[in-house]
Amino acid sequence: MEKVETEKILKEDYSHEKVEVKLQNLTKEFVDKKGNITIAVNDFSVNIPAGKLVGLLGPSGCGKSTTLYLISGLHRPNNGTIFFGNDDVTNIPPERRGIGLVFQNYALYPHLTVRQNIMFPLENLRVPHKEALARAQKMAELVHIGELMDRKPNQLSGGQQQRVAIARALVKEPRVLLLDEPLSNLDARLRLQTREEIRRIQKETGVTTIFVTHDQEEAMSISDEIIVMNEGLKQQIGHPQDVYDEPINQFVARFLGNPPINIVPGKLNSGKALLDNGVVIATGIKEPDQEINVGLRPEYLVLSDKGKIIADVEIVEHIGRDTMLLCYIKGIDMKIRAIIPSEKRFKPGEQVKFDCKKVFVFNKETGERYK
Amino acid sequence: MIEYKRDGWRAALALAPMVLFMLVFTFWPIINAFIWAFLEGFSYGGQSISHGELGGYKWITGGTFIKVGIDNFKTVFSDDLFWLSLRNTAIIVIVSVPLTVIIGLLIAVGLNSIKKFQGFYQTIFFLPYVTNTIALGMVFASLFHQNYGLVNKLFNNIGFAWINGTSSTGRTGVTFFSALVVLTVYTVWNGLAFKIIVFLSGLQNIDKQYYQAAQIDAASRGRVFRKITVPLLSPMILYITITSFIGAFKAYSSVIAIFGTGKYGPAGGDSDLMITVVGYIYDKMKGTGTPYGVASAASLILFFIILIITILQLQVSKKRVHY
Repeated sequence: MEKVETEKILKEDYSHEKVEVKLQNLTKEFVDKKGNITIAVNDFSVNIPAGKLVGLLGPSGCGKSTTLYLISGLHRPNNGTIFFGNDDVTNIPPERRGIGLVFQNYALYPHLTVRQNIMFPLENLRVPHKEALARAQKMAELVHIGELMDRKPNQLSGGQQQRVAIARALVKEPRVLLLDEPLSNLDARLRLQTREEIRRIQKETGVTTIFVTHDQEEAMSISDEIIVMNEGLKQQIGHPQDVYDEPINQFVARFLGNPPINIVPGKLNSGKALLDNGVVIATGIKEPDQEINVGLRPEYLVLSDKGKIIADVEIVEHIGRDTMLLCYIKGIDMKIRAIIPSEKRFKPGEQVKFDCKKVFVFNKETGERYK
Repeated sequence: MIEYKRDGWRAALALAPMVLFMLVFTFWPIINAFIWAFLEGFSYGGQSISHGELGGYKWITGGTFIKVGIDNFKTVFSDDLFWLSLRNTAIIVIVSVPLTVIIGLLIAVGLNSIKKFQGFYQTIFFLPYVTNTIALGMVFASLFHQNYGLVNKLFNNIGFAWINGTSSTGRTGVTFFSALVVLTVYTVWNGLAFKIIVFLSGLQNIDKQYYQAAQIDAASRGRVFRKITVPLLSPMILYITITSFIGAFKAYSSVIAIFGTGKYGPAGGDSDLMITVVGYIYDKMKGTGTPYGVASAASLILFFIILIITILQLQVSKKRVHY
């Protein structure tokens, strides 16, 4: 029975069978030696569409890696169900789920050559040697390491090791590919290049791919969809740009964007949002009067002679493409960042006036966004 | 952060006792062995030197008559007892080393995978390591005793009479085979603890992710052991194999512990049945003529045998050990 199933997974042409991954009410608790319970993943429900590249994003300790390991089967959930397409895989061991997993440090077997590493999963499935060789070679060429097959992992660069790990994960033609912090061990330049590679490989194979990262830029740049997590809870899922433009709460708004969003204290007064210095920044919010936080993305701040937000420039950073100003808002003892076109030159001490293209209003306590 | 100054004096003072002991009891005898092995034809005060009188020092210090040659080696090589001891030692090595390495590895892997009571089991397996060889040997001798040994009784009761056992008196039934079985069981068991410690620490240093990766790739337990555990443990396996070889070549105290002292001194029990090379060396020290010279020559021969085998192992392992 067991063997039949692995063979089935192997024979199926994954490029046609794109599975959706459904997580329902997934909960994972860890109990330490003293009996303290940590809830790593809390009632997590999400549908990951078939054939997409999805980034699981959050700060460290938010439960994103645990979620990945739950999908892989290396961790068992305390509660909840996992579906691959129509198959409930919750109680199926990792080796029979038809997944490929790329570990953060790649976990390439140091004593085996690249070829032996890539062939290892096929040998376990008793694929005939000739076929295994051919498939390993094909997969190596897909990830552009075809000429490195006889090297040992320690003779490869970090980026090459990453490709070997991806090839090893993909060679058995899994239904789902999981990547744990795939770029964290690479230097900045290689990171850009590798993330494009991951994108390309995913597009060519069409395998449903879930990767974990704490780097919002990384997630936003290559994902079809991103899932933002915090403290074990799903915050938001959606197209990267949609999540960025319409964050559901203050956490998501702060987590996405570099430089980060400015959060300025304010008040709601009969539907009008005021900054603490009395400037009315938004209107038409149908919530009772209360203290609020106002979120202003640096690039939403636009220089304008009639601007209501008046600030003193403290620091000017020239990035090249544009310029970042760090300035004090008049009337509030707070610094905010603004990104302005690089042709506008300012000096520290000068006064600037901004209009704000778009404003997010958040509940001060819960961080919930008011629209 | 505490700053450690390079305090040469204090370090030297702390090391001095050990260095002194090693100079006197290790290095000086090694040098002497090389010298004595090549000296021949001594007499002191017109008398040939016999054993037991620390005569050896007099040859060197008194310097009555010294001739350099290979007489001592000729004596050793023409001695049937030496060849017997070498044969016995070789058999002990060939039988016990692979057994002890394989059993040690399997137990270590087993211990590593146990979750409950791991500390308890580890303690049990480590006990022999801190227990005296001679005491253990006596326990084994009585377990396998010809007349009232527990193991022998057991075997006899289920119809096996082939282990005739050991005894310090009336050893009529002892055969080489029965002695070898007992000695092998003892040697393997006694050496296990250290090997398990080394293997276990090696296993615990293997990144768990290799095993997770293998699990996801549907590797069977046997393949994980062969393809991942053994290769990643190969430096430890090499280390243990070499030290086991050296230890087994030096087998001596285990033989005395089980078979006691007898005709050939504390080496071979009541006969030369289980005499080993180290036993032979000790035996020669009590001989006549140039006893220390012959013993030194035999020591050097043993030294070179071990050296050659170790070099061979290192050469072979270059292809097999990964790191």
